[in-house]
Amino acid sequence: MFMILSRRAGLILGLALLGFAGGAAAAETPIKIGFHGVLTGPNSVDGLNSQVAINLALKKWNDAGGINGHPIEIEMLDDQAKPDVAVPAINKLTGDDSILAIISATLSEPTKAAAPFAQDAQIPYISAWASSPDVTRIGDYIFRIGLLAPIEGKAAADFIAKDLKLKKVALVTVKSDLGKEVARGFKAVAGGLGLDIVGDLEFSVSDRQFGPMIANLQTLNPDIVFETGYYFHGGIVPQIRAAGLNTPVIGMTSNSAQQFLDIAGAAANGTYTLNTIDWSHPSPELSKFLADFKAKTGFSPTSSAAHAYVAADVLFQAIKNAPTMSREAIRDSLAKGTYDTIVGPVSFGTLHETRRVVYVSKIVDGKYTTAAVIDDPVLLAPPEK
Amino acid sequence: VDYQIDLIAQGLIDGSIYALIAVGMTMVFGLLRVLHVAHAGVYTFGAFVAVIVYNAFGSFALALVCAGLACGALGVLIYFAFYQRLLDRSPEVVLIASIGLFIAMQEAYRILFGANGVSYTPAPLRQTLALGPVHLSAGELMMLVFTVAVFLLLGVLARQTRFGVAVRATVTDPQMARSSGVSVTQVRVFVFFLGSVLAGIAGTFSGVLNNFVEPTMGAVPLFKAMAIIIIGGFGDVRGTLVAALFIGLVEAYGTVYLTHILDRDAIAFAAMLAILLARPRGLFEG
Repeated sequence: MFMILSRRAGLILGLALLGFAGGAAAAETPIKIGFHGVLTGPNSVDGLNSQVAINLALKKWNDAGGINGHPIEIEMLDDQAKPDVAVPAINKLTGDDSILAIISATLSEPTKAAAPFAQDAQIPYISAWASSPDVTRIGDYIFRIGLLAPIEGKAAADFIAKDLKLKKVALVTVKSDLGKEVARGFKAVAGGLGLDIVGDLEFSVSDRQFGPMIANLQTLNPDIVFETGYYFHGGIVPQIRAAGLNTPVIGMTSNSAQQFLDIAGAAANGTYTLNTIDWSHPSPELSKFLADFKAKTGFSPTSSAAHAYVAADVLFQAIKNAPTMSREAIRDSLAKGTYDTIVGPVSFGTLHETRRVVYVSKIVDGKYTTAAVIDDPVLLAPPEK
Repeated sequence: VDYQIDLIAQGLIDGSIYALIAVGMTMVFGLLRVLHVAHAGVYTFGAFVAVIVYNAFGSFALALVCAGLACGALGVLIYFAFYQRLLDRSPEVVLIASIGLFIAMQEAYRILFGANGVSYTPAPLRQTLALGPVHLSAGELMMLVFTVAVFLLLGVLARQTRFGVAVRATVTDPQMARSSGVSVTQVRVFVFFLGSVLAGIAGTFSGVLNNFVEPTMGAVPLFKAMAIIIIGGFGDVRGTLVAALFIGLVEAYGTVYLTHILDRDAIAFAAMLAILLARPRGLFEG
């Protein structure tokens, strides 16, 4: 009897142990995500910042027990912002059956080269901040977190007309796809908002000295200058001031970077910038992200870093909400959800472009402070086809 | 009229930076018949040295001196480590080595100083001075004065000193100069030193005016400097100054009137092509 009991007990114990071990193994099966981004080369600043941000999102989720008990792993590959490097990278990621979704933090060209492979393999693919409008048109597995450039332009026009109540605007546009698209969005709504575009000036991406253009700007006598340069064009602001022009200046989200503040120096004070981050009213999670990012890098996060953090956070929330762990279920979950993120509520339109608010910051004593929140859903609506 | 004066002033300011960087390249070309592409790497080095020294000690004068001397030393090092060993090779070999060195220098700066770039904190020489209708920053004014002084001194050095005579003799005929007792190596070292000092100072001013020093900042001035030394007639210091100011002015007007047709960087080359069609050997040759 004892032997029988003991055998039964042993069997039960054995089965229980097996079940426990099996259960533990199932609970610990990692959820694997792929990533490709520009981590080396001249364009690596945003890619490296994005990598830091994604690792912070990963740590937050894994510290909280992962997704439904599964730890998250990310395989990170460098695409050098080159299409011919991005393609083998995406092939490596799509060739791994255990990868459930892919995040990218790179420029438009490598994104456009890589995303079709994710679409063919039917793996959800989130571009953190590539700017080309073609990206999400590649297919229904492709999503984007960054705002389309024309929407930034529209938000700037709205702020100038309704909040600042100014009329005569001089556009100072960097000759890049991004700058021109922002200007296009601005022009599309300027007339309807009663704005008068008194000048449409352009400069090269490589320009750091803007004297002749500023001399021209002075003759236009604008109420405000909408400058769509990158952070490294920050010298334009002190150069405008040195020329004796005290007109307000507003920049696009690229100016939301510590480097912009460093370059523009004291002249940055009083200028406005479109922003991804609500600096004056940070949620506890945003505050933690800002602090952790600064602790890792020594500087405050750029828009690209915030977008990358949101890309990872939204993806993890969507996987958590998905009824199954299939890639199709994750795509559907991504598409239909509304997500609480560090940049406010985020959802996707039918093209899988992001829908969210735009913040406008005023720089005061070298710090971004929130001047307005542009939240008109019609004005900010992404394209739907 | 005020606007025209302002545009001319802006053109001269940009032209001054181009002149300071191009003069070293043109002197080296005159002496060795080598297109010293890595000179743009020396320019960037000067900008980095200056911003680091300034941010550490807060003295712009010290930053300028350190940048100049460090670049002078770097120029001499480049001469001994690269050019002296390659001078008996064909010019293509030397040119390719110089391009390779420039690329390596840019990557080295990226590794050493980071890809984000460095700014002056706080930015020096930002006071605005109104000279009639023209508003200039103290940095711009200082650079204009400095450029004029440098070219005047170079003129005096070339024409009124024994060393200037030795340099000119070495340019004209190195063999003859050597047999007349001129130390050709000494002349070359001096020219590399002086040209590199000026590149470092150009880099410093450029860094201050942009308040941004980045690893790739030498690339655009390099292209402009090449256009300038071609327009100025290879190896001609006076031609370089005139060509640099000319390119600065053409860019200033082009930026305003041609901006939707031609990129600013393309304007310098369009001007170069136009001049070469009219005067195939540059403004001051033939």
